[in-house]
Amino acid sequence: MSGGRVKLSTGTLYGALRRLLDEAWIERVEEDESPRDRRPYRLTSRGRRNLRLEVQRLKHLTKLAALRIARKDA
Amino acid sequence: MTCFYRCLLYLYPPLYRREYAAEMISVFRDAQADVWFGSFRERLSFRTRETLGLLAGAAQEHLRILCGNSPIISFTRLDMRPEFRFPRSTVVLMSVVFAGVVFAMKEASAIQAKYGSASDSMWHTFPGFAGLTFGFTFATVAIVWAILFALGRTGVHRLANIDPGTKHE
Repeated sequence: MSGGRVKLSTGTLYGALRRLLDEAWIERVEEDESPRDRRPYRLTSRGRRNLRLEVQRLKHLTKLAALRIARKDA
Repeated sequence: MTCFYRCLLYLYPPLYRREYAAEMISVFRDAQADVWFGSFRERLSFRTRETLGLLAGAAQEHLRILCGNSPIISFTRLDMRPEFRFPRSTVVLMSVVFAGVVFAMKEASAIQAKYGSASDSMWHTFPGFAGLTFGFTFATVAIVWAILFALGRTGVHRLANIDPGTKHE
């Protein structure tokens, strides 16, 4: 996804997943055929809303950065 | 390495281990298979990253159990939100305060040595000395802060830039 730039350890990854589960941003998908060591997760409605807000925030930041660069170039 | 990884997982709280250990081992095996035919450097980097990740993760989980879900110990949250980072000027101001405290302690030691035998007389000069030290430190901090504020380096302006619309639940 990041083209190899971001490399997460499993300890970091599952720490983040645990926090997201605690805050109900994601939930486990209960599937009968999925093995115990392969449990899928999905975004909850709250997680989706927060993701949308985060995307908006990042868009705002990149817009500001682009404006600043344009101003410097001008 | 998988055996070592399993051993490290015992550093986690039992409840966490029961919940996530099987998944973590499975994901670790997949990641290990990906770097298996990589260079020595890649494999070493992978092993170091996994070991440090587990040590840090286990420490955080124990800390969470001890302190609860306090935002004070939520390091990642603070790191991710730049408006909560301490500005560099904080270090300067804290150093000035620290220097003031050290100066006050030194002066107090000198006074104690001077009036050591007649400790009653020491207390006559103490309030004035304490007030003077406090006033001096306060004035120094206020001047330094005013200079930093004029230079826009206090970090106060960041508070005005916080967008309440991006607050997450």
